[in-house]
Amino acid sequence: MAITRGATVRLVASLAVVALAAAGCGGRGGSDEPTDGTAKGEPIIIGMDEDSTGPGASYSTIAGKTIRLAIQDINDKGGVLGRPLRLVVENDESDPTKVPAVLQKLHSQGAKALFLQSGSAAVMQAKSTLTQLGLPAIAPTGVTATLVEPPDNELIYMLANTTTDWADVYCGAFRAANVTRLGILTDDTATIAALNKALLAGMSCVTVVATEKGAANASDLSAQVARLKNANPDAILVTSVGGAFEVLAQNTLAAQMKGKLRFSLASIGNQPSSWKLANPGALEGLVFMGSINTENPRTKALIDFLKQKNGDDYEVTAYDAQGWDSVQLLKLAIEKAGGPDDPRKLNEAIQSITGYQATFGQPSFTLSFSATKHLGADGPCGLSLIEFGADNRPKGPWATYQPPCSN
Amino acid sequence: MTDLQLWLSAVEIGCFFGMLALAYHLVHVGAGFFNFAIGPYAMMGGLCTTWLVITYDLAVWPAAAIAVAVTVVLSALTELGVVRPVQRRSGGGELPALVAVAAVLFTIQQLAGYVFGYPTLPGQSLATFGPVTVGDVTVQPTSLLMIGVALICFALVAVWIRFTRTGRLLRAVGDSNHAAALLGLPVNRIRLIAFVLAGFVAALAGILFAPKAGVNSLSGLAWSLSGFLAVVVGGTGSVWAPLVGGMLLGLVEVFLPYYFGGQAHVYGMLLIALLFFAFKPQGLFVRTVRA
Repeated sequence: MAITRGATVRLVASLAVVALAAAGCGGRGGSDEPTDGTAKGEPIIIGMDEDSTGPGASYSTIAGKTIRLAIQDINDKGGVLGRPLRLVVENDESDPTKVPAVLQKLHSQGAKALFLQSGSAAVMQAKSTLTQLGLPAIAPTGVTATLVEPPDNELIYMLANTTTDWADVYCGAFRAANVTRLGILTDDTATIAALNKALLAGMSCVTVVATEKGAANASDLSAQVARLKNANPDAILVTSVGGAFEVLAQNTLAAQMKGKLRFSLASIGNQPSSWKLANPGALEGLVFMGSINTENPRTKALIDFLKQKNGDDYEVTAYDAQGWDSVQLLKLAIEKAGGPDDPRKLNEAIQSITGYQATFGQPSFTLSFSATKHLGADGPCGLSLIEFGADNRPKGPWATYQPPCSN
Repeated sequence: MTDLQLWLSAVEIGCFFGMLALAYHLVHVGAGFFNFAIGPYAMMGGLCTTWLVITYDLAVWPAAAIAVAVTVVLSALTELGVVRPVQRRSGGGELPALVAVAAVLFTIQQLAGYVFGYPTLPGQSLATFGPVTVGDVTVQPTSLLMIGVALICFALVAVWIRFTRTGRLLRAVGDSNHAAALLGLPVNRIRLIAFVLAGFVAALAGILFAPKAGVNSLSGLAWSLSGFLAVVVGGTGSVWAPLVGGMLLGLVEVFLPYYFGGQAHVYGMLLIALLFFAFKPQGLFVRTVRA
């Protein structure tokens, strides 16, 4: 009996060790990486710093998945200059302290250019390392203007409208809705701290009567919302990286401040998996900064493609579109440069791209770059204010105000 | 402190911490041991349930039943495969087993991340009714369930420990393994029952709390610490002591940020931990033994 029991214990312990080893081998990486498709030449290595497990995972993984699909699509059609794009991926968990090592590792794996799909605090830290390594990089979902401002901005590019434009759009919205007193509910991530600093600096159109902060992994925000309620704002703006915090914030605001006008950043509108976290009807009336406009034919084409790849119930977000466009822009730049091996030529090629018709924003929205313009957005037409409906899904443009589009 | 919505939040969180603390209490009473893997058990309950619903379109009740079963097996394996062999090899020493269980905590978290992924998943509500408005207070169905089930759990455990043979055996074994063994009591079986029950209570707590803010593979560590603090504060003198400890922490979690802003609850928890460890490590309710 004792021997049998001992053998059982050893077996259980062995299984535990095997399980631990399996877990230690990391996630299920490898199976989603693009193949070379029909392209035959020497691979062009593209590096991606993707936060798949940290605070930025809720949006980074969406863009990351579409970046992989875009690369696979290019490879299936013969690659770039006949050569396949090959993706190497590391994860900095949106931790600025990990970024230099991650980028060094991608560089050592032969990356000719990088996608920085991580929190903006981490991307900020990446700038000096990029200069050191001489690698051009695109931050597909970056929105903080300082990411493409000096110092060390020669090699980094962003696509979408930044918080400066967001501030103008929010101010237009606040004026249209007679909002003069604003309450802010924010998370404690470094990314949002940097974003708040940039965004609020441009919002002198309102008085911020209360700012309440909660931990990104908070399980309760009722105290913070009660304090906001005491300040009696005309509207609430939630600034967070999205995910569980944003939904908890909206659930709590819906319960404790019923009927109060609520705004949010782009996060929750572009994270369909978060909508299921919300209580029924909790997101109704919430207005977020969106960029997916189905009147844009390129958006429609992307939606069809992604639904074909991910299933009919897949919700396309701005993160998908920006990820897709980042890959297309890099492809274009490699073709213009005649190859990826000269980083200076590649960088100049990116800067020579003008009038690229984006898959997000209004139909006439384009992206252009130059030596002094590292932010692609040509005007505010990349932005729309979208409202959630009673079913906790975006129902369409907010009727009260939309950013002007003169094109 | 007149905002009833805040009191509701405090009670809900207090019940969650209390159930975690009850799981700790069961293992402590039955095996004389602090099982720090309680948090990951709760995490596993919530995460496994929601993963089964999202990935396999399972109905929520069968998914919850499977999740509870998986968690109970994990808990049993902790006792059979980790604690018991380590304690046997170390001559009954507690420290080696505590270290081993800490490793179990991280192992379960890593396994959960590997199997379920790392993003936060939405918890699944077992309730089918909508929110209830009472005056200015909106009571979510998940809050009602959390509070109701917590009270029922505590009541059932109290009755079980006091009035059933197995419950009395649990107390006897927990008082002294050695004496219980000398008296021919089924020590190993009672210890296993304690671990299994603890796993059950923790899984239930995780399933009920997950809808509030979601659950991910890293939730376990924070929940372990909260449950442990609740049992330290409440003490082990009564089955209801963990609930008192949990409620106190729930009040801190909600009312300190209300009066002092953002992260005041973190400092409040730290202060409570320091005060109790320094001046009242046996907790508020101490078991007295008549000589």
